[in-house]
Amino acid sequence: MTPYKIELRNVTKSFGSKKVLQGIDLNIPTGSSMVIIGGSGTGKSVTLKCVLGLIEADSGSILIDGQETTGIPQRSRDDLMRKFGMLFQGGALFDSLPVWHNVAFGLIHGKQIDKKTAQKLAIEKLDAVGLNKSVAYLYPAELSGGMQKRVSLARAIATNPEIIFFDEPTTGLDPIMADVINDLIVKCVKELGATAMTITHDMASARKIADHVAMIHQGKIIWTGAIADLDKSDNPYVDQFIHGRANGPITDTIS
Amino acid sequence: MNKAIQKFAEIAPPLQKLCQAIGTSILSMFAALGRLSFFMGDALRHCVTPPFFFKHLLRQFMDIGYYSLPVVGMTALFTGMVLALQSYTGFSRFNAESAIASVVVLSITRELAPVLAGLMVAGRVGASIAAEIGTMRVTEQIDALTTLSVSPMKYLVVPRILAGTIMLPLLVLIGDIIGVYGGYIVSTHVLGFSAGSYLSQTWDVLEKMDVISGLVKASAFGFILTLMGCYHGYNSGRGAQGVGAATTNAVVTASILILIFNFILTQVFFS
Repeated sequence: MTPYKIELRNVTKSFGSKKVLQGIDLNIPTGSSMVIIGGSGTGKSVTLKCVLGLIEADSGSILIDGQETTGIPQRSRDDLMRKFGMLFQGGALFDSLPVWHNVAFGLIHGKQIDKKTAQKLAIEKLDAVGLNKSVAYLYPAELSGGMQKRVSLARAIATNPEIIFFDEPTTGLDPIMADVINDLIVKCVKELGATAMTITHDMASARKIADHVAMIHQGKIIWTGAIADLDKSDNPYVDQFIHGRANGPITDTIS
Repeated sequence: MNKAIQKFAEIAPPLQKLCQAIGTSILSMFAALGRLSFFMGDALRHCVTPPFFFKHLLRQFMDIGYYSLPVVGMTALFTGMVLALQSYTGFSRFNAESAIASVVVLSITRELAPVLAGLMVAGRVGASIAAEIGTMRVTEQIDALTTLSVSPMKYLVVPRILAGTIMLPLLVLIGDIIGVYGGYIVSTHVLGFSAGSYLSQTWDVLEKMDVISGLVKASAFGFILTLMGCYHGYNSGRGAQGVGAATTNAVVTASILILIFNFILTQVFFS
């Protein structure tokens, strides 16, 4: 039994001539919350999508519970997906379905729970993210950005997944709503005992959610450690990023 | 000799560029054809393996079939009417007015109803499929389906393709009747034919194969136009521009493929 829920070994991915991931190595311990920070276009989203299997990695291996997941057949991939919950950056709610059906979607289609029970469970999950019953019958387009994020969060945790991914959970929200979402994420992950992987460039959010932090730069993990060690990393790249300075090694390499 | 070489050296680079451009476009065409074939194979495989989303199939029957009825009906009606008028102007020169009924019924059932219905539905349904699935792609809803362990192919693509393949023949069958009726109205009310002789001429000339071939064509066109809508939507580029391009490509490729396959199928049926 490995102590790591997710292991990435030398994962690479190119789009055309552009090398996005140039050998990612990352271990996420079971039950911990890993936050990956890094600038836009450094490969954060691609890393996450490789683990989910939405994008196929060119080389390297991705292990979940110690089992290789690259190149597995579709059927095993579908089963594997039942372990996952995912909060998408834009919410990615199905706009043709009412809110409760969005939340219950994984229960109805993934776990074959009947509609009535699934609806009840969905309303419970909505309650857990601070939305009352009346919202359940609205459509996603009728909700504000913050409420959509909450519904997405409810959908991500609805199936009680073992692993939850958060793709920039606070982007596009006001600071107060962002903090509310952060609190909800911490609470939900704790309650489920899930392993969480978050990508963000919002440092306030990272400090709140993370047990461990990894910094990605130009397709490689350049630093990883506990959140407490973030401020004493002695890594000029990390220092520039967490303090949000315009001048430093990151901007130097770009120009 | 030297001069000739020099001259060739001058024209060689642009010539090389031209050849490269032709080569690139041919290669990319084959690549696209390959991607489409894989997509089609994938879709067909998902058609026959569970789970099935029957509710979605029923909804697509309504969307693609029932709601297309006015468009197809109007097209067939006015095509039948104009066909009667035009063939009258032609045939009256040779005192062959009695051929109008057969011209109308054969053209409608064999060619015009399936092709025009295919093109109209490609515009109505193909575009909306491409726009809907493309928007779902852009807003990560398709990725969300995958993470919820639901195959987007089964959930989105299969019901639409099945509905298109099944509903188009039904639409065309209704279109056939309306089209013939359009010709009948014009012939009896405008051109002064007797209703009985028009109908008996129509009935005499019509054979089973005329209608069946039209319905088989319609089925093929329904498959083509929904496949194109799904394929282009599924592989839509980013943003509003990507979805716009996907919609245009879906309608244009579907329309052209419908016309090409119409020729091929006609060749198969009537030669």
